[in-house]
Amino acid sequence: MREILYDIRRNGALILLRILIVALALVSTVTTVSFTESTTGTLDSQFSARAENNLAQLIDTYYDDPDAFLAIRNNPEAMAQVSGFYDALTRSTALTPLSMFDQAVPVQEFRGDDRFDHTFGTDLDVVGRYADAVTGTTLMNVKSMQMSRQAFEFYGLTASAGEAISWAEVDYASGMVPVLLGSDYQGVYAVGDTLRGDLYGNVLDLTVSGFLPPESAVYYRGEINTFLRDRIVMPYPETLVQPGEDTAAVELTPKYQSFLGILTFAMINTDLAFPLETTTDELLAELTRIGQQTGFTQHALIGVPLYLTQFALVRQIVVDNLALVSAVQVLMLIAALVAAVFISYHVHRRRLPRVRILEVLGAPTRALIRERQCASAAEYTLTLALFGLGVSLSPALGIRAALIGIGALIVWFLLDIGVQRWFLLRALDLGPRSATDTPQRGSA
Amino acid sequence: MITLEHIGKTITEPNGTARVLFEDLSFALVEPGSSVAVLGRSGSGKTTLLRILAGLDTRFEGTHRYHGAALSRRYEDMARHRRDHIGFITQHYDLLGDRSVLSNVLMGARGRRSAERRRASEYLELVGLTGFERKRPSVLSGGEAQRVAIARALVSEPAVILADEPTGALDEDTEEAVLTLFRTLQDRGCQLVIVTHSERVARHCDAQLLLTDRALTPLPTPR
Repeated sequence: MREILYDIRRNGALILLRILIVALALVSTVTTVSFTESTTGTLDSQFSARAENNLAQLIDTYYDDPDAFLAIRNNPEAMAQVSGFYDALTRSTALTPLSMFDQAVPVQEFRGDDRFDHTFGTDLDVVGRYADAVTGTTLMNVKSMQMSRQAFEFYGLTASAGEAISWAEVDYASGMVPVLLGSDYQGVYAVGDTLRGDLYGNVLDLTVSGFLPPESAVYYRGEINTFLRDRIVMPYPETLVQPGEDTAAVELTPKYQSFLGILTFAMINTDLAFPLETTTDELLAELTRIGQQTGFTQHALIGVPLYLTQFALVRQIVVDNLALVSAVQVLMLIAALVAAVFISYHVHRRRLPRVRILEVLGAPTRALIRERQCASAAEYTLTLALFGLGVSLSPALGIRAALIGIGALIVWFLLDIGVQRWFLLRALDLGPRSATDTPQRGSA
Repeated sequence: MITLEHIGKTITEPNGTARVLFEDLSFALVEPGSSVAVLGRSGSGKTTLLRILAGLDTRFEGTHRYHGAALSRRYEDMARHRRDHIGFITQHYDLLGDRSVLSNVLMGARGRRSAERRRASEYLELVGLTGFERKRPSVLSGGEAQRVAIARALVSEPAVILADEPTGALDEDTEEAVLTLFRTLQDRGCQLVIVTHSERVARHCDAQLLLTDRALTPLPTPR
């Protein structure tokens, strides 16, 4: 112990420098590994499916004829054709409809603050809470994203807390709809809570199934990453017409019929994902076939030419930078290793006079090695503490990465002990024996 | 008591050429309390001979015996041999500047801490350095530093003292004090082997050997 104190007094600055180098190198490595894993995971889970597809946008042709739009929504037979058209789209093997719409949802007695208001973060003035003129209840129009199961899965969305949406339980007719909340809702609502909301005039009980991870995002209206962290994700019904069901015969209240009409048109105004090898002509042919089959032909196709270009660019930037960051990290690690070995050698040189004296005095090698191992153990305990502090301050750290860091520190410790042992034995001239050698210091 | 038999040793010079340093060299120091001086020109191998006697150099041909038993060449065995029987006084004192005189002397001690401290103080008194315990080597004169190195070699109470140019950097008065100290050690039964260039130092020893032509030759005792 006394010798360790002497050693710290003599070599403390160098030892501290080595502790800092090793700890910082490992914290940096762990952060990079964490970042790499997270990015690779995102690329694999979301970008792959997106990279293998192109997008086009499907619209109805009633947008410039409100009277015709109102007429078709009040015509159950015509609406059955539109619903059938949507369901046929979902069954098509040539394309995937990615229905999404960001209709704000008035929520009664909303618990959150203004950041969830649909005007927050836009050029509009934040509206916040207001009293409903009819019922007198307090409402807030909160940000939402309605989406189909195909869109949900296409963008690789998952629930990080609670459970994913049970699509079979989505029932707009009864008003019971399970929803996922963006990550900013953590602490505002809990799994199992119910929000009373209103979509297109239809009052719904929105039950919280779970929460989305913070990085959850979708492509929406030209924005590559539209983040969902402050939104309520509401599922569209999986189908609009049950197989074999004669929807024209179903009795609908005017209010629900109106709701269903708006919902149906919201759903058919959708992005269509299709394989890169599919030509526009082939896509049009498929839409024409579905239209003729279902009787709904009032639709048109708009290309989304920027999507692929933007997306490919972003993806390539991510991949390139990932390789760059990894390469820089490897170089930093090598530099840190070289610096640590250099410092080890320098510290060894500073310890050498004492070793020479102890050698002359007949100190056992084992004792000298053990003494260095104890000093190293103390040093690496401090390094581990510094590493722990560093990683605890690191954002979005993965457990696996932290374990890799601890493993690397142990390997580094063992390597350092090995290197120091080698330096020591070399200094004590414990090589193979023969009658020939080079002159000793000051000898002969 | 301590003998070298038929020692052969070849060294490789920095330019790569081999040079035979010893050839069939023999040495014996038998009588308790006796001393021998080894003289020779620079580069003749005096320090190497001392290192072989100390077990610090084990790369040689021949046999190294202590009390009739051949010594092993293993590092650990030779280290134990030094710990148990040898006190080695180096030419350049080799004191550590970051600790006190007492701590430097204690490096050579073994056993319980309190007993070690007492013995270290005794040997500092023996070499005339009472009151120097807390001083740093950097404030010592050459003679004082040399005496600290001697105290460190003595504190384990070895049977054999090997001294490499122990008075090389000392003035005559200090040299005389050190030689008187060596005589005191001999009176206590210590055997001494002193490598020196100084005929004055050599004259204080019981026997003088000249290292020349790869072997030791006895010189007539002048006193």
